[in-house]
Parts: sequence; C-alpha cells; structure tokens
Amino acid sequence: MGLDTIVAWSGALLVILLLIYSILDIHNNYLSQDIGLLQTIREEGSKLRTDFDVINISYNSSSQLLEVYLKNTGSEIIYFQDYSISRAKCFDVFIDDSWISKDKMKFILLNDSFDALLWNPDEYLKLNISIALSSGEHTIAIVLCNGVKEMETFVA
Amino acid sequence: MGASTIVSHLILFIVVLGMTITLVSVLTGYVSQTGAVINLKQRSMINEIKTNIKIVSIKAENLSQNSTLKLYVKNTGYVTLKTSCLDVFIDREWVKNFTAIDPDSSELKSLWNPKETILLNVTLPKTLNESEVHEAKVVTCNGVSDSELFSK
Repeated sequence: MGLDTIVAWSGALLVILLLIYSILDIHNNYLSQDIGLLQTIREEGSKLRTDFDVINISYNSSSQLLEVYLKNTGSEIIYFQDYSISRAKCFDVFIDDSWISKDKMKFILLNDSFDALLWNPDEYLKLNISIALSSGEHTIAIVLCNGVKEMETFVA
Repeated sequence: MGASTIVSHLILFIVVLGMTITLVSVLTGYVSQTGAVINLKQRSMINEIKTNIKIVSIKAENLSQNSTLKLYVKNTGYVTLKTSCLDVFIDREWVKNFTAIDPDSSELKSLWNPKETILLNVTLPKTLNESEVHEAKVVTCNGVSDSELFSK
C-alpha cells in the first residue's frame, strides 16, 4: 500500500467521522425535543379521555350552602393539584359567570376506596359552596385543571 | 523509492491533509449552523404546540364604553406564559387596556403557569350593542389563541 493510498483513506475516514458526529449531534437534539412532543401528545390524549357530569344540585337557602354532586364519567383519573382534597387548586367554579373563590369551596370524595387524592372513573365528588343565592334560576360552570368544562342550570 | 519520490509524496500528503482539514472545518461550521437554525425553529414550533389557553368564562355586566369585561382564561397548555405580551380582541378589534390578575387574590399576574386561571379585566374601548352577540379573543405571545362568544 503506497503513501498516497494511506493519505486518501485517512482523509476520507476523517470526513466520514466528522459527518457521523454532526448527524448524531443533530439527531440527539431532535430526539430530546421529540420526547417532549410525545409527552404533550400523551397529555392531550388524557384531555380527550377526561369527562365528568353534574348529577345533582341542591341549595339550602337557610344555611346558604350549595351542594353539587359530580361523577367522573371519563376514563381518566383526575388528581388534586395541591394534595388537599378540600381545596382543588386548579378547579374553577363559576356561578352565573362569577368566579367562586377557593375559600368558599370544599371538595369531598364520596365513595373513595383507597386513594384520597384521586378522583377515579365512576367515583362521585361532592362540592360544597358557601354562597348566598337569590331564588330563581342560576347556572354553574365547573372547569377542571385541564380545561374540561361542564355547565348546568339549577333553581335555588 | 528515491528521496525525490518521498519528498513529493510528503508534500502531496501535507496538501491533501490541509485541504481535508479546511473542507471538514467548513462543513462542520455549515452543519452546526444549519442544525442550530433547525433546532431553534423546532423549539419554537414545539413551544407553540405545547401552548394552549381556554376562555372558561366571560362576565359582561355592562357593555358601555369604558366598562369592564371580565375574561377568565385558563392556561391549559404545558408552558408558563407571560401576560405582558397577551393580546385581547373584542369583535376583532384590538383592545389596549386590560389587566391580568389572580381571580382569588386580585394581585397582578406577570407569569401564568399551566393549569392556572387568570382574570383579564378588559376596558371596553367603545359601547357594544346589548342585543347582539360579541366575540372575545385572547392571543398569547406565540400566537396561540382562543375565542368565545358572549352577550349581556
């Protein structure tokens, strides 16, 4: 093998090695971002599987207590953000389009079997709201942490 | 092999090596710059895909000029957003005066975390017809938007 052959092979090898390194470097960036994208897609799928129903609403005008019964009708487990069942930090409640402050609300899981922080499919959640309502028709809107919303009209 | 052949081969070797190094350094620069641009664009697009907002409620007590329209907007995406570069449109007209606050504490919000709901107090620039349905639109810094119809 002559010197020129060695030189040619060395040059070609160097070029190939650098090209492989560049490709791997770019691919590594793509891969890490693709994983982030996959997580987003997975969480978007979780939104589609989330559903709940307002199954009963009753208002006691003397105690000014509104009781709302909710059922997890989706296939997704809904968890409470702040690790406190009494105050679900990212649950939003509106009555007649007005924001209900978190300190006026209390969430109680009714048939919870083993996990106190999770609202599992088919489980019931009771929402107590301390509020003074005029007699007549009102609307309640409940928005979960992922934006899934349910509205119901009731008579106080 | 004579000495002249060795010298000529050595010169040829140095020339080829120099050319290869130059070529590789140019290629590396080109590839890394192209990669950086693609990476930046990809990050921006992924950020946009991860951004989502939802107008969850609109409280319109009064539709006269300078009255306040309350827009409750939830960050349903996966990135923290800045409220300073939000845009609000009422009936496709840009609204200049609005504030973003925490609905519970009424404190001004500059950063808007995922799953959080903020209250946008929008000052209506003109009187809206109370018998008509209107549209409120909120646009985030990276162009993701949500719109909702409302009436009094």
